[in-house]
Amino acid sequence: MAARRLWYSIASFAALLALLAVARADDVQKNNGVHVDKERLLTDFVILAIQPDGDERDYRMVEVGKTKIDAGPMGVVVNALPFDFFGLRKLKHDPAAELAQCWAACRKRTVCRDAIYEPANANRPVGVCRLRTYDAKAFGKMAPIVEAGDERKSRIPPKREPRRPLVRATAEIPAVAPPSVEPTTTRPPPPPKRPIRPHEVIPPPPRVPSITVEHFPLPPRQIVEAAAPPVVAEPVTPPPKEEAPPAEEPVVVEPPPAETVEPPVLETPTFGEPETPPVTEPVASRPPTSIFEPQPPPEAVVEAPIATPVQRERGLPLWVVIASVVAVLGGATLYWRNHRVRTLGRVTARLISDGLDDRTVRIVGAEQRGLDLRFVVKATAAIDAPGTHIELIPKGAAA
Amino acid sequence: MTSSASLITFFDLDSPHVRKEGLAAFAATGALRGIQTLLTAAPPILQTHIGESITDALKTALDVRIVDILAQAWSARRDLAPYTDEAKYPANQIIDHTLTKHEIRSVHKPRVQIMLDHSPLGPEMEFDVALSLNIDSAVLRVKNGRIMSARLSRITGVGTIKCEGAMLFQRPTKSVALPLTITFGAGTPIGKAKNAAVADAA
Repeated sequence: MAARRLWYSIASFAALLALLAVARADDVQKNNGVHVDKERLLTDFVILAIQPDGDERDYRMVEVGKTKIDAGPMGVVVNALPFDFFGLRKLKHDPAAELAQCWAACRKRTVCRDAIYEPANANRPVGVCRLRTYDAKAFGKMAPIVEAGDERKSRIPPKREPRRPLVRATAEIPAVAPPSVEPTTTRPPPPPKRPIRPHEVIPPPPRVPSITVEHFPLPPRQIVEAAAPPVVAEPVTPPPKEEAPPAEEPVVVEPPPAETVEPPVLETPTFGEPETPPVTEPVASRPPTSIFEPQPPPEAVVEAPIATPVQRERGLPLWVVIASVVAVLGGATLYWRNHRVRTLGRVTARLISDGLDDRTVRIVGAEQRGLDLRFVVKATAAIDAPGTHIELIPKGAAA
Repeated sequence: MTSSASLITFFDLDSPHVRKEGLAAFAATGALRGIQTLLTAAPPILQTHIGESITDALKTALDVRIVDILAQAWSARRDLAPYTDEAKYPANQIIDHTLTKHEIRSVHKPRVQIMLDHSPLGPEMEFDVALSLNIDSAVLRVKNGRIMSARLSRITGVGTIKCEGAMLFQRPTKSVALPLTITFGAGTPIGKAKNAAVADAA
């Protein structure tokens, strides 16, 4: 019975953990990016900077079921309106198209196992596609460095002996790469040089391999190489005499525990066969050297160069938009006028009678007949002087 | 004043300002308010359109030339009747007959019916169109028993349009340039005017 309760407790705890894992995974998905834990493994990605693909793709054809329709005419009026009218934000890229390009780029590469797309944001105006591979050769562990004659060599477990000290899966690292050590100007002048012994040869700093940056779709390909960080070396400080071991005596370096050896951050953007990396012979090194280790390479997540997105012209030409708007307004005006005429035509005023038949015209206050002086000019149609005479009718006489 | 002037131009009904004032006065009449009450359920645009429709119909009734009113008044004068005697006044004889100050009044009453969807709406509305012209003197040229032309010294007057006693339009005559000559074309026959009455015949 007690064992059953124990299993119940374990199962409940496991279920709780599963629930938390699911919730956490959901949060990761909502972030629309790469989680920190995953980002640590994204060192061997091919970084693809994606640009919106110009005019090569016709977005006017909208898939409706099994057919495609031309959405251009329907978008005339919509495109003529500002984006703010709909409360939208103007996007200069097509996230769906870029995501499809990201997956297409992954499918073209046999070593690609996954693709992660990060859309553009306010800080990065272009989207980034990360192609992920699971090349096991890209990882390795550092082997202990043991010089000949070291007594502590016997304490190293024999099972660790066959480990390879370092494997680099890059073909671009030269076999012998001289470190670029440059003294800083702010440092005090270095002490007199002493002869550098073979076992003090500093391994070349890891270089960030070239990272292929591709721009979609057709602009000239730009290859951006992440420059190796400058290695700054301080002047070698001579160790105290009492602690300085004899130069000829080998120094056994206590290897770090195997569990704590972190694989170096390697970038393997090239998918070809890696050349045989230079194998560093285990040499004894002077433990208290103050030589600065080269800075770790920058994060493998190299941002693609900010490329100005191609500004696409939306909609139709201006004159077409204006003509469409005029046509719409004209049609609306015509409809409104017809509707008004039809409505007003319902009411009419019919003139039943103009009243002219019953019109009354009178003369009021005319002179009394025979009370004024009237001039009556009598003349023939062919007017001439002898035929014309004027009759003066005195006031009060009859006509 | 020209020979083509009509009562429409006299009342200046083509002017939107005059029409607006007339419609404002017409809205106060009981006839229009009764019709608007019947159109309560109709769109408001119809209620405001009634006045315009009545004005348009009234313009048809006012398409009367003022010259015709004058000719009709003068042709009815009895003192011009002797000129119709061809024996005494041959056809080729021109007679200038002078008239002193007198007043010509013309009154007619057009009636308008409002129709909604080709059906009568409300009672008929009757308008009183009156025109009063004061003429200081006029010289009428008579030939062959017809008034051929007239020369007027000065003419003034006023015109009114009323509905149910309410004054809708009132307009005085404009200043007239002198001398004013009015021609009657082929002439107005003397003594054959219809619906004319001579007040001073007595």
